[in-house]
Amino acid sequence: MLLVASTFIGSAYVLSEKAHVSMEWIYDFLSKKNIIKLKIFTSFLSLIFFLILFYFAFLMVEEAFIKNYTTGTVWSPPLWIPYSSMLIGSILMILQYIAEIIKLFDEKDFK
Amino acid sequence: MDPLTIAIIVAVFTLIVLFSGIPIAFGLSFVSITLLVTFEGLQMLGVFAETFYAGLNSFVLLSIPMFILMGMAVAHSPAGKDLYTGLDRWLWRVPGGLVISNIGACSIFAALSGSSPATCAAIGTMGIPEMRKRGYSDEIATGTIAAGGTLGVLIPPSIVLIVYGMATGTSIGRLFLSGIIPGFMLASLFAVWALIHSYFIDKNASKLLRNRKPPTLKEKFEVLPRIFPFLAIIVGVLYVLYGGVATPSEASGVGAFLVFVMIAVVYKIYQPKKIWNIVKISMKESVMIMFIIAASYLFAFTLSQLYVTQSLAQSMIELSSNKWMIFLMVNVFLLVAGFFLPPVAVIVMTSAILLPVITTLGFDPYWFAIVFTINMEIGLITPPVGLNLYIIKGITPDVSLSTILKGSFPFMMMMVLSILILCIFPEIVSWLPDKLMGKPLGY
Repeated sequence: MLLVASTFIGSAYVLSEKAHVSMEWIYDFLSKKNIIKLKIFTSFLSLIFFLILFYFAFLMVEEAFIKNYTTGTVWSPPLWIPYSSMLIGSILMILQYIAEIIKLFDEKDFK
Repeated sequence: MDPLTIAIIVAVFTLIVLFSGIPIAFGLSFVSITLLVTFEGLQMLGVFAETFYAGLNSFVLLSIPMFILMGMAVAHSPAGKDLYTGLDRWLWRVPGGLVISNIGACSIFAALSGSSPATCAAIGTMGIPEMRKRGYSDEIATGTIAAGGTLGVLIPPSIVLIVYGMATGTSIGRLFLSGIIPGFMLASLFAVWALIHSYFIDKNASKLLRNRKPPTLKEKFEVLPRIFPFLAIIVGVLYVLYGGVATPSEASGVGAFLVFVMIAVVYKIYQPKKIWNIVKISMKESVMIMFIIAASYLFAFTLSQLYVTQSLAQSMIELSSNKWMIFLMVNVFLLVAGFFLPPVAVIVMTSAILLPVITTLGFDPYWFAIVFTINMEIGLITPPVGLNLYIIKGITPDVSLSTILKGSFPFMMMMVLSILILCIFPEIVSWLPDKLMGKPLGY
């Protein structure tokens, strides 16, 4: 549970540090300008994914909150709390990706 | 549409998306969502957030960040240096001794760390400059560390084996035990190549050796107390795991705690700033891995929704009647998958396809886990997503990627050789766990 929370909430920080693994092989064959173009494109793809995740995480939290779901354990905390970590995580990711895209547009080689 | 056609579309689409340089975790999730919507319609999206959540919501997975923390703490102390100067002082007379010391240090470090890039970074930052300074060629210096680092995922604790255990429902303790002997076998195969290399190919290295001042007996014994705490921690964690004291997740916590105590006592690393730095780096690495695991679960879910998993497994069994033929195909498949995806992703995605095939054919799933892991190790030192290659490139920016590849190629051959050995003598894997835990039930 906590693991889910730390992964989702931590992910935006990891993105800002550029520590997510990717295949950067193709960058060797492209010019600087094209690399930035490609990066903007892939950032948009990820942004779309997190927007969708945000929407469905919201639905999950809402449902768990209204219907008062709890985890099936002895402690039995309400489920909307761990679920909302996904919501917060996706909000942070959306913000971070918007920031990344703005940063990419500002880069010197792009202009 | 025929599931096999879908499989080809999925493979091509995934590769195109991943080649664009998008982070692998997000790329996989994006592909899964797109596929779900195109083939199953919008209503399928409702379950996707839950799948994502469920992929990570597991107690077993907790051991991953813990083992990473443990490895990082050791990596950020001068421990790696001590480990291999210690080995070097004892092995100075052997040709290629420094190379062998590095391999040895990698395998000891692998027993403390579950990840391959961490092993690579810890030993490489000290080992590569030292080897180059002493006149070893760039190829052997970088190749050794690239290959030695991969031992991190074979010698327990190992993140790859944890994920395998979780995805297939096999015992993680037993998987760890299975990895020990093959891990040291692979390390000695590497050492054999280092010997051959310095005897027959790189004559320069043995010439350098003769000019070197031999270390005194005092120097030799001086380093021993510094190596000892590591061995104590390794034994401690192993005892906690196999003495029946705790589950792997708890054992990982114990290990991380012991390592923190050790670096505070031995290396005086207790300042909040340094500890914070270690925690930060471990967080980066574990979040990255966890996100890939979550994304791979989503991808595996998509594949099985599209009936790709089931039909692929089916057609694999029908393709040939010879079980070794199928095994060969499975290996080639894993090797190719390992080129493009990080190990944890490959395991989560393919275990549902491969495990039924393997057990139907009468192979031992624990034995298969080890073969699987060695396949993944090869993937770690080949482009385009060879994590170890990037680590080494980071340590020595002036050595080109092709030189590193040339250096690590013979070690890759050693890995292939070890898979062959394991096929001929499967007892290498099963002997130790059978001895300690008894024969597994049902296989």
